[in-house]
Amino acid sequence: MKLPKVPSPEESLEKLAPIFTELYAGFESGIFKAREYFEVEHIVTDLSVASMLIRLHVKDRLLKAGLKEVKLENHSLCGLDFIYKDTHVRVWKSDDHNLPDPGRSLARQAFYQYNLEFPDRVPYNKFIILWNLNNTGGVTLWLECPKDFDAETRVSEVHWFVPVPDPARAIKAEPMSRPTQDLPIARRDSAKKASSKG
Amino acid sequence: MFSGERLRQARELLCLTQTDLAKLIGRSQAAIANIEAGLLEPSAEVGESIANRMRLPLTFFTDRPRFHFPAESLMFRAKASASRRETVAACRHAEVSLELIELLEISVTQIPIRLQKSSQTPEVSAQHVRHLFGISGDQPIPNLIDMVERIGVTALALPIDLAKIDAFSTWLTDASRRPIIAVCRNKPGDRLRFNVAHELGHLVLHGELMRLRPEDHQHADRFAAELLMPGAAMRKEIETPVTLSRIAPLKVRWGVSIQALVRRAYDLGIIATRQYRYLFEQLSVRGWRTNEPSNLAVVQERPRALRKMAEIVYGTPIDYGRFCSDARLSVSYLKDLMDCYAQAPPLTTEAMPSGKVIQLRSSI
Repeated sequence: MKLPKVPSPEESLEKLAPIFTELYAGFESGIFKAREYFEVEHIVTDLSVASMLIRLHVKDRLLKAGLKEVKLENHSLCGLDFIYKDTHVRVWKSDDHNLPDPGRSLARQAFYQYNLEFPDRVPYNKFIILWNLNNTGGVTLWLECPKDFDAETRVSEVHWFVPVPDPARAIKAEPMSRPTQDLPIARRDSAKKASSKG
Repeated sequence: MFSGERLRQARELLCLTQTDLAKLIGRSQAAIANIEAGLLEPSAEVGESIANRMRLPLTFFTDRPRFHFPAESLMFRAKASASRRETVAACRHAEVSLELIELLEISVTQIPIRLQKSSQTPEVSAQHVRHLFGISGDQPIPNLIDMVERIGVTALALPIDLAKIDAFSTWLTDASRRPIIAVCRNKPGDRLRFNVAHELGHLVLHGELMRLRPEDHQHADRFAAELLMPGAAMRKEIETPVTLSRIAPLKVRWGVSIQALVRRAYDLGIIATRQYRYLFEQLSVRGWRTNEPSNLAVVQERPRALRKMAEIVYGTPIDYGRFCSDARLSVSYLKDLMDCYAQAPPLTTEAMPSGKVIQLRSSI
């Protein structure tokens, strides 16, 4: 079987841009909602609960944006899993851009290997998005293209990883319209006559 | 005859104290004070020296200023920490620009004044002005300064960078009864638009007031918000959950800052206090309260009328030799001033779509 070409980071970012817009919105909203929950309930912030609340809001955002097949991972409630066009995406929390250890989950181990899991019917890509809260109270996202996982050494590899830019910074705007007609100011008739005489 | 009042105007225009000027020309502060008060006629040599140091032609000082704006009687949009010297300098630049307009209006027609004062609420008054502009309630105002000029407001661009002063406005009390909005240069495009809208609010709502109360500025802000971000349209376009990344595209479409949009969402009850505070906290930590992302920058608008009048009278390109001679100002001052005004629009019949956001991506 012919293996699919590994897509470049640039084309992958471009292709998944609509997802990132919704993901960012979901995370921003989720972070606020999680914070609000602990403030309103006067409960000391629990990061694992906060993360779960954030994920729920991200999932909600993706569903409302029209994405199909969005689901929270059942076994550990720690990830999101969805299909976008021909791409399978899984979203996990991580302290940095390094893939977290997949543990004993065979499905997760398989997902770390780019060359496994090729349905015959369509071209197929898979990506991992890692997220973490940053020191500004916002979220940092990384897009990762998995390559391999060695169950014996427990070392995972990626083809590449890139930070996902904030969608607000990716907007390219045309200037607002400019006047197409000049102001209705003209030479006075008396001035015209004077200048023609002169 | 050397006009002391003109000397004072020129000195204040350049933000100089009497002592500063005295040092510049090697005279005493008392001598400057006496010249300004009309108690001392400077010698030809001192007059020349003053003119040279101030980079103005000697003829500038030969008659009295024809306009005088007392800084305290104007409606200023400025930080509380703005110095009196800066405020006065802004007034003096506006006075000089008005004299230029007076000079040019001998030869050119004026745009009829259609702006009217209103005793209605700021919101209703803003809706009336949008109607006057011919803009429906669900559309952004594409070029605010152009529209303001078309309803007869004299928009002045001041050739001075003042960090703490944005703009001011007044209705002239002379026979022209002209409404004026003066804006300082080099302000971000979105801020400039809000400044102009705020001053327009003062003209409409507080035309008769000599001194503004704090609530008058709040009313002008409400007017500006409704003018630039109509409530009905915002309720449709600001979608929940409100986040910075979701609100950012609206900045481009409506030509206002993200901060103004967040504030608008709060004032309209789209977001609650807690979320409003959180969003502003996020704006702060991202550094967007002082510098919003450059890719979302709103183009700086410029007034046009004064430059157009000069082009009609002195040709295109402007014959600065003749213009300076008639205006009794230096070439450098006039060029600097004209650079603050817009060029003629390009000869095209097709309007660009307003505030369009280019979709770089396909939708989900």
